[in-house]
Amino acid sequence: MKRVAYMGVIAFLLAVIVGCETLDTLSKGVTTVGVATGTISSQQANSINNSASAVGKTFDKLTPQNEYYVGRAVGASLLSKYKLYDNKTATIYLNTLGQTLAVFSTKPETWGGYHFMIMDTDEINAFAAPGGLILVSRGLLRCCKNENALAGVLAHEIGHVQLEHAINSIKKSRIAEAGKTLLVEAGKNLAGEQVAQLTTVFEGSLDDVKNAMLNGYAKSDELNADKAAVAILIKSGYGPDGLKQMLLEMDRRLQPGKSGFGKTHPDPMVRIKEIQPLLNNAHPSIMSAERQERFEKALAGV
Amino acid sequence: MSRKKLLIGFSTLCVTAAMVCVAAQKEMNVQVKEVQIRSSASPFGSVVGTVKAGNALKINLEQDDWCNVTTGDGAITGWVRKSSLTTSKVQMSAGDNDVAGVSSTEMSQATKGFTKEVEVEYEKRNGDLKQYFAEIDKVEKIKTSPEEMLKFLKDGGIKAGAQ
Repeated sequence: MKRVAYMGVIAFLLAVIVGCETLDTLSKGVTTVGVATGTISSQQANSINNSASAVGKTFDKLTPQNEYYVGRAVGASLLSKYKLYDNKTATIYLNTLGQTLAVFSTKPETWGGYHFMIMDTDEINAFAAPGGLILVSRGLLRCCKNENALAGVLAHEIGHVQLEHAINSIKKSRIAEAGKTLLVEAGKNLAGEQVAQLTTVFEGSLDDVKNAMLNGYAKSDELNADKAAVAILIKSGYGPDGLKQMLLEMDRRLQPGKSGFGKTHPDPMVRIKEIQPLLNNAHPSIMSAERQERFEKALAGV
Repeated sequence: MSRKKLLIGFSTLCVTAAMVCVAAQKEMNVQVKEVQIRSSASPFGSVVGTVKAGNALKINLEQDDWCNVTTGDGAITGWVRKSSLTTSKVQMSAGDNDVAGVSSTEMSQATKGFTKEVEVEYEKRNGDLKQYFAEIDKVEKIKTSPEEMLKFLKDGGIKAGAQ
């Protein structure tokens, strides 16, 4: 019994040094050697491994898979409010442009990938759900005069996904609660009651995300999403002018505090001022006739 | 065997195990549903293989936001984005049957959190959302291949990275 205690102490001290991430692996390495040399029994080894595994699995961040399911549910909820604009040509065009831009972000791959949908509303608005599901309103699409401006809109939303603004709005206590189920031993499935409890935590998390989206992120989050968008636009070859064009258009159209972007986003002129230093060093965007033609054709009915 | 000798011996074993641990850190796990391994460190590099979530990849080299990797069986070597990998274990949930390449044993060792079975329960509680989940399922089928992206950029007169 004392031997086990000594080994437990040593494993714990090493864990403090190397961090919780490797505790599980380390514990298994130590106990495997211990069993091989006859120092401890396999039963004692399992006991140590189970304890170390439980400590090592501190859950303070949702996995990409978890983010994906939150994003889907948030998307479904938003679609129940705004309804889908079911235009195949426009949707495919939007996804081709958006998915192409996303490969230039610092988070190019999510669990299920980036996908773009159109909301059937005149309101000027867009939402970036966790995991890369992005919803853009018809009203916002109508503000775009060309593909570069639309690229600016989509790059800003991809910026929100990349910077994990939606997922970070979930209260830490809920994430910790979700993580408790990770301690269910391997080989055992969640009981119905546990799924029910977890779904309640899930619903609370969705409320956190929807509140943040509908009431607006912090001003700093919006400005950082703009900066991420500029980087994406430069890397992709579109150039960042389209974002500025879009902000100028919004400044003309938006009524501060009313609804949509006017309620949830900082003053467009403040946003332009913030990104202007980044624009000064970039080449001006060049529009081609082919690009304009495909843009107008794809969004003709919007 | 005296307690002192036992402690010294076991401490040595711990250090050995720790070294094994450090060596093991050269592997990372795929944390997205599916990752494409490319021939070059470019989003448009040709695809030389595909690896599903949860599989471990040996890290040969790290370059900017790319990693040169080799699959566990040594069959494929190429480049993947760092953001698609994690040092944490990636375990699958029982509801994610669409994730191929994961054994039934691994499936049973389920990570829980918010997964398919939670979505199913959520949908049961909110039956009115069913049609909207179906609309999302539909849009998730729209996937642009690297070749289509390159063509899209080229047709629009855009040279990626020209800025």
